[in-house]
Amino acid sequence: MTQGTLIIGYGTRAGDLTAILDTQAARLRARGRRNVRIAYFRVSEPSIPEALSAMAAEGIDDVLAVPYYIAEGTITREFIPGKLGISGSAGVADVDGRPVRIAIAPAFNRTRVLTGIVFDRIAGAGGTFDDGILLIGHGTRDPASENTRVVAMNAERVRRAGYRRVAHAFNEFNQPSIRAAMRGLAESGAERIIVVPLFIANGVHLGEEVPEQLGIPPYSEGGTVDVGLYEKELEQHHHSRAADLAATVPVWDATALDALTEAVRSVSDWAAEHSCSPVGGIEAVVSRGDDALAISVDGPGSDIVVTGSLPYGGRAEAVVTIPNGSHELAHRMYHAMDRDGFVIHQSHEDLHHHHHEDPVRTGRTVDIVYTRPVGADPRLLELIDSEIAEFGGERRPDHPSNHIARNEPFRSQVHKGEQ
Amino acid sequence: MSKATLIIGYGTRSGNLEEILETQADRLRARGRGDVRIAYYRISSPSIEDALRQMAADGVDEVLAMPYYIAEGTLTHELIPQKIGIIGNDGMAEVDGRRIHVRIAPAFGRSRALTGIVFDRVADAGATFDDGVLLVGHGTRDPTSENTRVISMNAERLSKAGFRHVAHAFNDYNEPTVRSAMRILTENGVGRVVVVPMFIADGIHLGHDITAQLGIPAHSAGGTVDVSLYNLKYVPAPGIDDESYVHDDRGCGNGNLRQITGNVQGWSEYSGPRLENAVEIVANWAAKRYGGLDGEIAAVVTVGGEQLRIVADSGGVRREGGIAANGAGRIVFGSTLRTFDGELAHKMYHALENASIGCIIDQDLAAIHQDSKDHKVEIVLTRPVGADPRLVEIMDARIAEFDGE
Repeated sequence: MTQGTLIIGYGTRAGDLTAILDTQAARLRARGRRNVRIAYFRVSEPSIPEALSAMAAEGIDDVLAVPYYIAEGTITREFIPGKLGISGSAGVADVDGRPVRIAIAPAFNRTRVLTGIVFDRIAGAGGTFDDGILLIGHGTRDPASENTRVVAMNAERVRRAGYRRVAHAFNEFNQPSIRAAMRGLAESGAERIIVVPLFIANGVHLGEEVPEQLGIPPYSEGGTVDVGLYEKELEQHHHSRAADLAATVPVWDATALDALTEAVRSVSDWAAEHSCSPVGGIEAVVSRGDDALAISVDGPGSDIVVTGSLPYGGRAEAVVTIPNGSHELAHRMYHAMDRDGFVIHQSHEDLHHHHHEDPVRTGRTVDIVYTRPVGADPRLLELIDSEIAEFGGERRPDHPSNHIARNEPFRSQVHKGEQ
Repeated sequence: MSKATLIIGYGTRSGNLEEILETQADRLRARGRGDVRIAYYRISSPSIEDALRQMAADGVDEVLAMPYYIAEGTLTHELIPQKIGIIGNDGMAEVDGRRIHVRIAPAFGRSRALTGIVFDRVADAGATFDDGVLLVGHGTRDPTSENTRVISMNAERLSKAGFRHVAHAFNDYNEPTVRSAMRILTENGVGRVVVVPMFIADGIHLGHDITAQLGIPAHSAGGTVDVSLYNLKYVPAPGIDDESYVHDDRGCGNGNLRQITGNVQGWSEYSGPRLENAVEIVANWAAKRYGGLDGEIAAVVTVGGEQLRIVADSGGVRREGGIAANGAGRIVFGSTLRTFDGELAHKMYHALENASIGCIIDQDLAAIHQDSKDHKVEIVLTRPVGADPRLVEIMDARIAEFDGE
């Protein structure tokens, strides 16, 4: 049997996940681990089925799949096995007619390695035992997810090390909210709060959503914030309502059509993965004069349907309706369209119905130090290296000079992001 | 009872050792490892003695001392215990009339954590298995030091992982030198060498000494170097602890000798496998360079009427005939490759020279040496290993053990 390792990341549009996984995979290859590949659950390429097909085509028939995830959950227990073509954590998949044995390693979960990284982030920020420490998790609606437990457990470990003001919070879905946790820390007398995101990589969550809730600039490393900000919750994640987005399409062409279709698809997929029910359809209507084209999807998992026609060229107006959708979906759609060059008529603020206009000013401030996510740390890679060793993966056992023509460069992977 | 941890560094005048140890101590403190202090063997402060006096004054009576050193040696076995005032790695020190129980942890030594860091330095430098990798150690005059063993063991681990051109060298005291290791790597046709210093921190050794021997700017992270630099042989002038360099008078001309000949001085049972290895090295190199072998590379040895032929072609390496006798004989080392060029002749010359079969080659290297004016090697000098968080985890585990957790 020929062994291989498939590292599986969630996928990202704008973050540094792919650079992180490329680096970690190159480090494994340097250790002599053979056939190390990367795949993504969504958005980024290659997809899990694409990567598996390519591995099978190369004759790899014994695969250790390593979900590069903070915590176990429905994604690691069901969706990833589903995309790999097995059920449970081990099995034999039929890949293009070839049987491929697959075993799925656990997510990082409760490992002390994550805690070690958290401690080092705090130390790197010059933390003292009097500083507030806020661990932030992704949050989940998935009852099977370990995310909330992993984050809470790490907070407990930090507390036991001697920190007097430790809290944890979730970006979405779960309590405590970031603002509630910040409020509690400020009330406990913390003047300086070190925020450690238990996330793999940078992206929209860490770059925009978390800073917004903390009250620091997007993509920043911290700031000074009046604690009055934390007295009101952000509404964005807590109300469901119909949402319409109106936007101008500067040039209606095939690229714009693809981008809008992809935006509808990604929001619909996201709704399916996050069980955002009740969810109706999503419809995007693009028009110019009497011509109109509609891109619609009935519900999560349904096919995208395009009806009507609109000749390419010139400006067009788009209206996206999410009839029974949650505000979260509108928010997702906003960011999806924003990235693709559509000029959205609502402001981000409109969408959120923020109370930014009159935050309570107390005159008391906290200094926030916002640290990096954990995914790039070499200790995570040592964990995977041990998983591969346990899986039975041998390092190249034979001295390379015994073979005349073997060439397996891995440099291309390392610097892919920089070229 | 009050416990404390004392991290002991060597000391530095201009390097970043102090910054590294402060960072690592902070990381331990962040883990709730209570009383963590730092001392230095020399130059930097506080000294070991001063740190101990302070601990005695603070009522500490149990200390775990952790030498932050790559390898064990007389420094960790004797000199540090001496400064602490104990013998061996566990004892009672008397400090200003107070008794402190001190235990000394081992240096990082053969830990796989160091190897993991080396692998990551190599990977992060974007190395392929065809690039050269040079591990550089401090070197030592101390016969009890593990430094040379730790360095060569890590080089061996890199080879086992699949790197084809791995060498190790020492900045001082031990062979191979950095220059000779670079000479061998570049003679093997390597165009890029990732240099990993197995040092704790930056300082004079890394910033000046090693960069000078590599031929890259001081305090730089690498550069492109003409390989003729490595033909400079280091010759210490007798009785003077100074360095002077003389040029090895290897002329470089153009020429494509298809065949090298020579006298073999003392053929023995070991010579056959060594020669086979040399042929294989050349064949591997040629297969890579030319995308396969379109002919043969062969060595033919005759001793006392017996003949051994070692032939490499696209099917691999095979032996024909054999020599039972010991003694003197002749060797012919040639190639029928259509793609033959001066680089291959050069490669063959050095492979035979380095084969350790006691061969005196008839030809002058100048006759076959490819013009090396354009023979450059790209060097990437990576950071020292001391700041890595994995070393904190090792210390954390030792403190946990010390604390009886």
